Amino acid sequence: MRRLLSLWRGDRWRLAAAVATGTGTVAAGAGLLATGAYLILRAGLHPPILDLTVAIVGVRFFGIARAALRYLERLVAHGAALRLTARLRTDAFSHVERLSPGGLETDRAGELLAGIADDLEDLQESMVRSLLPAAVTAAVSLLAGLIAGLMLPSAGAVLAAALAVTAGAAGIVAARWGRWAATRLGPARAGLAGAVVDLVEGAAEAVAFGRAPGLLERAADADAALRRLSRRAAWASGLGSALVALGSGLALWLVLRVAVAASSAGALDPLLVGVLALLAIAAFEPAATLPSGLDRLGPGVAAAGRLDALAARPDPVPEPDGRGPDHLEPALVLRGAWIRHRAGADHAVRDLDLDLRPGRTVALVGESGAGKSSVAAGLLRFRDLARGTYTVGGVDAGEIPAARVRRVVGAAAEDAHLLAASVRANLAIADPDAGDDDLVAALAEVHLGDWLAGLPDGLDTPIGPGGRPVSGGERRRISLARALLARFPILIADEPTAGLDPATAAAVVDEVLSTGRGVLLITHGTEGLDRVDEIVVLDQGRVAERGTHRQLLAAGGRYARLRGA
Amino acid sequence: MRQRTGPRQAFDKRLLRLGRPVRGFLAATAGLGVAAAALIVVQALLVGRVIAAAFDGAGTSDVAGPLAGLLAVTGLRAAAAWATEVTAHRSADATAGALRAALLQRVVAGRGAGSDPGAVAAAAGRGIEALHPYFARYLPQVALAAIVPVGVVAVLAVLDPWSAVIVTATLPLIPLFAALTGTATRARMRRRWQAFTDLSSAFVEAVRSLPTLKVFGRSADAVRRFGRLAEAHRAETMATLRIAFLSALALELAATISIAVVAVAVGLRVLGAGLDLQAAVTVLILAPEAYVPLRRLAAEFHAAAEGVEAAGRILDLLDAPAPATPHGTAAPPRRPRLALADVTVSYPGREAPVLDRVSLDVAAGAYVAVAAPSGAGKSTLLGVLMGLVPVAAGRAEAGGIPIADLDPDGWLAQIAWLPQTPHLFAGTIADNVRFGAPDAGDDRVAAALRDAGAGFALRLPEGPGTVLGERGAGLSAGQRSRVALARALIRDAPVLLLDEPTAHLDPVTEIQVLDTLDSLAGERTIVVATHREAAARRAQRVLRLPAPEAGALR
Repeated sequence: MRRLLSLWRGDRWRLAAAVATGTGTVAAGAGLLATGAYLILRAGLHPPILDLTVAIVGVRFFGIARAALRYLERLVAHGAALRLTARLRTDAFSHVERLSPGGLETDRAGELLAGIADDLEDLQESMVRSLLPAAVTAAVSLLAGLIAGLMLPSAGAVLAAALAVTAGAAGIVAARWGRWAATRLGPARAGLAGAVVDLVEGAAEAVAFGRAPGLLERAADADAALRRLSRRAAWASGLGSALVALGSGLALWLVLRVAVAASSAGALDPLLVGVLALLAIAAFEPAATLPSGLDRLGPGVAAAGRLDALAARPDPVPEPDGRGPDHLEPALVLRGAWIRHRAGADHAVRDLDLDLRPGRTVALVGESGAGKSSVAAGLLRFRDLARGTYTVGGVDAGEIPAARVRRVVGAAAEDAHLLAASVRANLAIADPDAGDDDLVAALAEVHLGDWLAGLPDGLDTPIGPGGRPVSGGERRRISLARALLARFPILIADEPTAGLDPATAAAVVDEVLSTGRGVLLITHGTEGLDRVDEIVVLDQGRVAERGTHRQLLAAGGRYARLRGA
Repeated sequence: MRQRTGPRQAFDKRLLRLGRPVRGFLAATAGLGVAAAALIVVQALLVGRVIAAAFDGAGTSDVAGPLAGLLAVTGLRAAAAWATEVTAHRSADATAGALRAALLQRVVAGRGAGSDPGAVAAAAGRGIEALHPYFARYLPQVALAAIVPVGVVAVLAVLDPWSAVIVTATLPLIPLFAALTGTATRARMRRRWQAFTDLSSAFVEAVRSLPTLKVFGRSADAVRRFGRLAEAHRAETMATLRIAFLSALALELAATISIAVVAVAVGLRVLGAGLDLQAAVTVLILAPEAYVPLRRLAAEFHAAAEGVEAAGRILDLLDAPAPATPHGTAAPPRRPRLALADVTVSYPGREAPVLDRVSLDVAAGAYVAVAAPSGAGKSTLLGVLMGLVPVAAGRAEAGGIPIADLDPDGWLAQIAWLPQTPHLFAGTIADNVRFGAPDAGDDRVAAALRDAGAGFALRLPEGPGTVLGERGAGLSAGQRSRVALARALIRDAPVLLLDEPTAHLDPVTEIQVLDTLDSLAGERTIVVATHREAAARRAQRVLRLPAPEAGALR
């Protein structure tokens, strides 16, 4: 509850407005029934009609006021909740942005996403359906107790107590079961979502390997598990409804009993027995929605907790306080660098020295898993060094904001992502001001000129998810063209030639190496290795040997064996 | 194919096809609705009696009977409330499960082709979740709204016909207003669903693109763009609600004003001695009860509109024509000769055929490479051999039988396949390898991994027991492809179809993998699609597909 309330920092008045209009709505309803009862019973004494005028006006006033307040209440409550979720949604995304990619690797992206989307829905529901009705019920029990107490103190006490006990009992039931359901339902939901993703995205393989029935069964099991849990939750919400029905019935019974006893003892005007009874009936109106609403409280609190945890995750690479030096010389130096696969994992790179500056080209070779991509992640400040030093223009990289380091060094990554947008938009993220000529030239540099000419709408052709399919080789080259456009002084080209035929591969590597920038070429291939200034051979994270192509061939070591193969 | 674009009803009759869970639920709900109506009436009569008696000076002992009755009614109402909740939730779950199962069956039947995975995943997840409140809250309320007002008005007619007339006159206004605003909001509801889908896919897409955007210093733009999208979603939702709540306003006005009118009219008749006091008080207690279910129904507006919309979408997906799937029955031959003769394959919407009169003859136990540049139709050729891609012209045969005539499951059981971009499933690396041979022991799994050049998996701290992230996250593209190769190698199948098995490999690992294939040749029939010379050189025979002409392959 406190956690939910704390989310409203800065928006408290919206919450208060929602509670006030909600309470007003109930009060108007109670006013309508109580004045109605007063009017009828008073009429039973057959007074002159003028005596009834005030009651008649009151009845009409409360009737209209109630409808107007109700509309206002719903608008105010939903408006406040929606505003809150919109803010939280954006906050959550900016945390994902802050953590990506180094701080997110242990998460399954889909689960993270589904989790956040569900959490936000849960939060919104818990606001509109639990937090507000609970607050309104509390306000109403005070108000109703007070008004009834003015007529007959014992009736007021009974009514307020009955309301408080009922709401409290329903709240405890809902909160207990809700918390239970949230800790168990959340994982069950995520498990089901995972099973669905596997089936939908892996359908072709599941069918080809004859394993579709097994996967369907897994989804069915996940579904059954979810249903077993949700059935237990249904018992709880049934119990809540029963408690409210019981509470409102007992309150009415108690109020009638004390009122009848008081009126027969002469302590209460007999007319007010009916007024009190109708007040008791009307005051329970908000409590009636509590059971169906309060079971949203647990999921809401759990969701708030998860969003807090996301926000509290530390930066994958600590950001410095200042901006760093005014000018950064584009010279990257690693000395004795150790880099982990991810926080807490084993070292992917051990004791590496590396020098990159414009005009100098270095190739990083080695088997898959030798740690080549981790070097790139370290240089790009997606991951921090576990040991050793990394300086940019002689300044420790830890004193420079990571985004500034990435203006000096950029990458065409192995698994670079194409946006679901046009070719132009995909290239323009590198340089929003580039003209079409620049874009065409960049594509020509990576030998995609013919590909571009064959596109139905040229640069406007949509690619990426949902767009025109591109092959793996095309995707890598588009990403390379994008990196070339960005004019990074130092460029990391991660496997630019995988998926290309040898002639194209050689031509593309040639282009990359002749730009005059500093280049770190990460490759499985052989193209261009005879041209780079230094080849670093990595083996399980360590430098096995280093030198020029000629030196390494002459040395007859690992590299020579690789090439001889 | 019914009702694909027609207006959505509060209850889509196609749901009845789901059978027992839905029908049983509807019956139970109606029964509980009748009980609830009866209890409301009895409670009002008892309370009216007590108030009238007290007004005439009665003491507690004089009203002991009605008060005891009131206690009994309270107990029964509590029991009915509990039963309503439990049945509603149960059938909501049962229906959701049945729908999800049907949807997934459908995906498998379509082999993942033809449907947008995002839309299906959304429908199977959040879409089906939206059905829960629809069944658990909205439909029971519909039953109450249909039954309770009728019961209340019937009793009012006996107590005071004039009040019955007033209530009867105003009650229909409520569904009328609801229908009017419902019509106005239906299109908006659809847009809101669209907005939500857009928002979800924007989120996934944005998360996936973040590493790339960060390299170019553009991730802050993505945050801003996403913020605008979230705000647009909020504004759109709020605009919808503003109109949707108008029905609540109209409803509330109709209800409260008619209660006020009833109260004043009844009061004036009591004044003129035209009505006795007890009946008048009972009418005042009872009249609001006629409106309560309708009012609650309006409060479940979200549940209703989203539930109907979600149900419609799922049922539409289920009713859409299934993509053509092979349905041959011939028993597949063991160790067949594979033959393509002048096979032509075209995809709809493409001018030039993907495969143009391609012929290929692979004897049992042969090792053949299909070498071609990217885009020349290598993957399509493998699809033809598997019987997953229909042939437009020419013959595709296994052991002399047209592949289209083979029992598809039986034929696929003879094939081990490595797709170009393999999907790794949730679970451990070993689970993924065992996908090809569920009963394989740890030794066989380790051997398959070594043969596939995926020895790295054995050196991980947790070995092949390492749990993978979604879609194989945690492994590089090359590592994923080698795990998938191990999955294909471990499968005890005479035909091995490999799509770019060495694309992401370094030369040393590539040689290791090619050695494995050499050793398998003779024992298994191997077709390797590749653009790598090293891989093509090893095969006994190489089929070279022409490079697609520029423009022609588009």
